[in-house]
Amino acid sequence: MTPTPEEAPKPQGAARLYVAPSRYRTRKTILNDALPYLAISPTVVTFAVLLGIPLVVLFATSMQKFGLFELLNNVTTWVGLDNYYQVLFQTPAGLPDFVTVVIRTTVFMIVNVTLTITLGTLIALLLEKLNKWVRLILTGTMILAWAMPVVTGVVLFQWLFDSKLGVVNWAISSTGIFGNYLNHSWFATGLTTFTVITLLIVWQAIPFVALSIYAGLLSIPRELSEAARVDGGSERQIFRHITLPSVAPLMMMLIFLSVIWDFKVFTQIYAMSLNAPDNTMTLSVYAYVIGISDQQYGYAAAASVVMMLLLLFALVPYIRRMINSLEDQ
Amino acid sequence: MKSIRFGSIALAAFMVAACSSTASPSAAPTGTAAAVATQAPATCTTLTVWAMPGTFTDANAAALNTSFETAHPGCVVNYQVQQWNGIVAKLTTALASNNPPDIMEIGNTDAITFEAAGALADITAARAQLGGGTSNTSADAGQLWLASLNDSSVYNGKLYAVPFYAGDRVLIYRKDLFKSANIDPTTITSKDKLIAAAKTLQTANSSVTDFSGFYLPGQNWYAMMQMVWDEGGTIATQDASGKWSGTLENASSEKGIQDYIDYYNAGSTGPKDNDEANPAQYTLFNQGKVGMMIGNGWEIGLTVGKTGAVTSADQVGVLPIPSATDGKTVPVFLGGSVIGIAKNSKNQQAAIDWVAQLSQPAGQNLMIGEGWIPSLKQYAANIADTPANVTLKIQAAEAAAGSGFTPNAKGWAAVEANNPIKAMLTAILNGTSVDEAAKAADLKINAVINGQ
Amino acid sequence: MSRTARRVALNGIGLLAAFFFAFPVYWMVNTAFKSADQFQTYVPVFIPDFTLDNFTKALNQPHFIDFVRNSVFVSFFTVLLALVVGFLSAMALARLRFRGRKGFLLLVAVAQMAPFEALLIPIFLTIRNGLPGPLGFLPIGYNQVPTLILIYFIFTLPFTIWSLRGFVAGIPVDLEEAAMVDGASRFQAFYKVTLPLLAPGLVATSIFCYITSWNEFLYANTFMSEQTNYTLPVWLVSFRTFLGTDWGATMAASTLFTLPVLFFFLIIQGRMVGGLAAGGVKG
Repeated sequence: MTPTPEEAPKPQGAARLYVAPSRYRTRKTILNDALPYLAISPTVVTFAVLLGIPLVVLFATSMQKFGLFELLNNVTTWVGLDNYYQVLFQTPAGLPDFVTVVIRTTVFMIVNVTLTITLGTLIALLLEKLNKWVRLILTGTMILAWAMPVVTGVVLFQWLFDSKLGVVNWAISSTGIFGNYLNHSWFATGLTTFTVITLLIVWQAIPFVALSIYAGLLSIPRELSEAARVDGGSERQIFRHITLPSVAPLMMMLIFLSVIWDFKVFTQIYAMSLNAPDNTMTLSVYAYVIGISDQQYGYAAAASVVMMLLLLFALVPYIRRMINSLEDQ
Repeated sequence: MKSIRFGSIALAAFMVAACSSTASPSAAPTGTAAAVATQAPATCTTLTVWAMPGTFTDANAAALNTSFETAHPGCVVNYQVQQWNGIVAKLTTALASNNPPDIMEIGNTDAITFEAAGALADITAARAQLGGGTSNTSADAGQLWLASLNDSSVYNGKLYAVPFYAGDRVLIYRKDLFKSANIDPTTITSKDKLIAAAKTLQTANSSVTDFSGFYLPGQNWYAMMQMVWDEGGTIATQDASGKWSGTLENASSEKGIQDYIDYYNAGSTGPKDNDEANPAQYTLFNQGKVGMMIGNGWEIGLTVGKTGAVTSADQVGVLPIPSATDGKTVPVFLGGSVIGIAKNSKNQQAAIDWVAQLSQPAGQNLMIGEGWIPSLKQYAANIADTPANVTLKIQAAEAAAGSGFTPNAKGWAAVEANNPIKAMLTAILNGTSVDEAAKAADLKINAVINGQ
Repeated sequence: MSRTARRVALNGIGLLAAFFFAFPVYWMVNTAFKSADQFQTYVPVFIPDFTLDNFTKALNQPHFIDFVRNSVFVSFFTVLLALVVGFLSAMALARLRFRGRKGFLLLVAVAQMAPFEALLIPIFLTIRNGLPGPLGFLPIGYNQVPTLILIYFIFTLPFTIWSLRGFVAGIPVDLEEAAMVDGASRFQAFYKVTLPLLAPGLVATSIFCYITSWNEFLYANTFMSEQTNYTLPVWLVSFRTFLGTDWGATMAASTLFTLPVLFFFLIIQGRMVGGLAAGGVKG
């Protein structure tokens, strides 16, 4: 480092987390005041333009009769809230009822998030207790699962659970505990299809959660738990009063990300249930099937807007709490 | 990939035809296609053509494009092969873009969607040049294309697409197994006789794990439709006001569905929750696990492998699919493609010229060489009697005896996109009653078949 | 339970878990090396005959090289764009106090919720005519490969900001201050002290952006219209046709497709998760 005199430090406002007192207001501090806004401006512009415009278009199409004809001929037919009315109260016969889809999506999300977070946490705690080699092996295999592209994962799990040639049916039958599973069709009913999808999602999501929490556990200062131990605290008490509070903000963040990911999950569900899609239709698949396959873009847009609003209302209070807990550190 | 490959012969004929200034009738079997009025070549710089995988061999595609380019100096053909996976979304965005492809192969089940939306050019005026004759009505004598393909190309009385080629399913069987089980293939003339033969084959081959005398997967809904038509049923019908509704729950339709279930229960080891592609039935056939199966013409070549139980084409035979009524064959589903010209194409006339090549005798023979039933009735009925054409002749005969098609309704593509018939079949095989499952499927069909 | 028994049991559970994570991957590679009559069997074959046929078939698919080139191009610039833009925001969030800070964090969280499958048609409508006015010269629009970069950039930016914010927050601010007390400028302090410490975080976050753009199929297939413009996921599905699925070639392609991702993962190993942990753990 070769500092020159004219670059001599003016620590105020620079790296410290406070704004400089006004008597230091020089051109440089005005620049300092503007700095954060300059720094976030590319993101804000990106969101406003690249995400904002399509969202506005989505909102606009949700209030139009908008199908293939309108798309190809640039026709605009406003229908007000018709599409929303249809989505909420008038699902065409034969399509799953919207409320059913919302409930199914929510249940699916809760099951997946619960499994991912619980198993992820358990594995993180387990990692702490393992000997070096087993830890290395487990970490390595988790990275393998994590690194696999989703498209590949879907194809692979279809192959594993293939009713005729899949290794899973063969393995289950070979153990003999559950009887003969040869020819068992996993993708015939909604529940078993969801089982396979959940296995795939959880299989790929655990590594991120487990390794994140493990990293979090490692960064808890050792002195804290040692001091507690000296004071006669049990392992359980240490976990409850030291470990858990320390990783709580991290867990909140992981739960937040998982909730969003699992609520919106599309590829896994869509690709896995091509042969019996009705029973496994979640919100994002519903919007896609109606929008792209059925070419009812207006109706699909309305369904998507409703989905986003649901997520927003459900999560904004949570996000506020999460942001506050992150900020209060 | 296809079993029948004498494309090179057709190719040579094609080159001859393309190079002579008038349409040469030399390659035509009998009669001639509508003569093409000689016109000044349309101008263009690039003509974009989208075809699907398996339609043409590379050599045939190149021949078509070269002959077009020769006739249209300065115009280059940009030939693109697209994947079936996600094709509707792809065609949709492509057609809505500023620079759509000029010519697109469209599956005949999807065609109506794009015709109804006004995505394709009205080419009624060019009908004669394209080889289709003088009338848009299938039954008229002046209409020269296969009826089913013509119906897929006409919407509201106007021509929006050009019939391309068709294919249908046949009964593929193991000649050697029939022989060792003492079954005469010519006796397979009804449903009952087919089932009896299947059981005989099963007994004779009981040592083979998972052997099916007659292999049928749970979700071959094309095969099921044929059985429904065979019993006099329909998939959906249109009322006087033009509104479509599902008719799978009608008594005769349910009889056809029951036929399918009977066939499956006669000992098929196919998956209840999947179709003929997963696992690929021709692979199972190759491994010796199949006595008979319903398959497309192109599957025959794939059943013969370097390894496996079927290593010679002599082991594989082809029969028409029998009806429930003795002595008849089932009406077949005529799958295939039509060609659309984008409404926004700036090269309309050049596009018509490219497509018109296919209605020439050489073009028709090119399609026969690819193993497809050609679009013109006259050519389909007069396929040369060569060993390579055995399957194609049976296919064409089946098609002539009777064919059916998916309902020509605006929302049919949407029905297929989320196919309730497949789900229905799986439900029945897993214990739901035919009536209950058919009613549920009709409800789902009704929801989308009329479009938005 | 004695201490040793407990330890053995825990390690046993660890190995069992490792088996579950590894098995599907093993099965993919195993299938990729099997010849046709080996994987269409009812009793699975656990040791393949190590044929390279499937790989040959996968690599000989027409335009494979174009797909690779496009995938690398799109992924590289997506990562670059997301990192640069995301980094600026992350620095501001982790190091500077400003009005609207929490609001901005909320915006990032909300952006994370956007349903991208549903935005297919709206995004198409937005870009089909290319960019407006003075930006019209940019190669953005239907069937223009760089369009995918912008789309994936938007997909990945919110997470990039979250993750990088954590990494930056994990670096003690005192270090920079100490450097500045020693006479370094703010820029120097950042460049010489913070950036090197942040490098693993940048690499780790880039993996996320990379995987997203490397994997994406829907937009790549729908927005591009020519063979020469497709990316590798389109290649991956090309073995599933109406002729049936060529499992061998699909698994071989999948194996090859996963390799680069795995390679990057191994380079950075545990560092990927450090960011969220560093920024999110109360010490």
